[in-house]
Amino acid sequence: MVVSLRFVPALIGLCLLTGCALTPKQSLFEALGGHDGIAALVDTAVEHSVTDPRFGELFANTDQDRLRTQLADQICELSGGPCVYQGLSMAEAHSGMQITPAEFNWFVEHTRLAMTERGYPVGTQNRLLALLAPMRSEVLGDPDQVFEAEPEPEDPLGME
Amino acid sequence: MPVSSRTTAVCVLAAAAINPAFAGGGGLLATSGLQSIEGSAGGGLTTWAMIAGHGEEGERAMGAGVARAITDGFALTSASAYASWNNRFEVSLARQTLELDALVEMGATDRTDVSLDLIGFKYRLGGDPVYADYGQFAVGALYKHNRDADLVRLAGAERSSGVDAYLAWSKLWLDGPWHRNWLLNVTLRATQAHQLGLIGFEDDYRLSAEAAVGVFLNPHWVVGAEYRNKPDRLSNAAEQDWADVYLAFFPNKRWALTLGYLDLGSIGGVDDQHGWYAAVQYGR
Repeated sequence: MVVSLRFVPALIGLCLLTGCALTPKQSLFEALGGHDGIAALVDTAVEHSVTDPRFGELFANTDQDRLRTQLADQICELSGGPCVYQGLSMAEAHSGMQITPAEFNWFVEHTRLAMTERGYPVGTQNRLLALLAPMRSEVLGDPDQVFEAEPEPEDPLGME
Repeated sequence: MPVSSRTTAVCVLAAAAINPAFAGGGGLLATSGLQSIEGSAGGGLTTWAMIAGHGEEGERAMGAGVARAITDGFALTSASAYASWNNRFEVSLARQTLELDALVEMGATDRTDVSLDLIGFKYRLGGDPVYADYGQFAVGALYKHNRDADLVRLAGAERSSGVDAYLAWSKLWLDGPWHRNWLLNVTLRATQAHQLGLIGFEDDYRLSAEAAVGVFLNPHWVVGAEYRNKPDRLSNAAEQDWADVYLAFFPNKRWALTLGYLDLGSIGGVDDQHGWYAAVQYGR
């Protein structure tokens, strides 16, 4: 069998062009199953994250019920549902927690896994992840804060 | 092939044995890229801006893999290993062995194969393929040494070793067309090599470009295509651009499997080299 792949540059160009052509959307809020679907999804994702030995301790001092309500409100609003998120901004809510890129990704993965477990199709999963991804810069810790939070002791060697 | 498969076995064992010292896994699945035939993180034929392994800031990763390409007249084996730090810096080693079946049949050479050693360095300048709107940028260099100086001379090439330097860009769009996640990579390369260096190098550099696209059917399966522009500088052995279509499977953050169909054009004076590509890699 001989198949020429000289068409590949055209294919790559076509892929870029189709980026402009989007299909009409069912509201993501509906696709997620409305209030009940979102609440169940948030429950599963938070449950997985809190019990994850890699970063579960981050949630140790968090009011879990409030966290779930706030997350559900946010997803409801972002997905076009009839909610208005009235909590803190993402930067305020995570201020001082020094969340690392890895920890953010683990939460994303638990959210993805929760959506798979609850039977959402890949397209619906991607729509929600695309809405959550822009929060990353606000959620992550500012690396400069590490130095402010841990000032050098004045007498580190105990010479006095 | 025997030398390469032994090298790979050693690489995989080394990765498995040393891994307790290497934590990691904070990167999103498949943002490691694959191990290209040149050892650096990429697709199969092209290099991408992604840093090998699933390590994030504060993590290390390492891994090894083997790839095999079989065309009508030739077979190429590439065994490679990498280590990466902080999702910032990547070091890779690779050995390619090209079996010269078609040339032996023609009586053009009595050598059955030719080997190339590659050492690669890649540095992420900035960005992130998923989270940064502008994607991720990286620079890198590959030092390549052809282990068969006689064959290089016979082919009419000036040098038996050379350097590639490249600038790469990668972007992964969430929720692109058909609500799928899409990957695009573009790399500009300055190279001295003929056919990656398998038939030697010249003193001066030529610019070439390469690109790869992929669509994530779901988080574990990616289907895509690559194109690699190549210089054509040997009068007695025309060199053509390379292209492939591929299917990659990431069952988890440790393993990746790739199948591809290649169009490598003319190699060593033998035209129309098409064939299959398969690769497996393990990392942590």
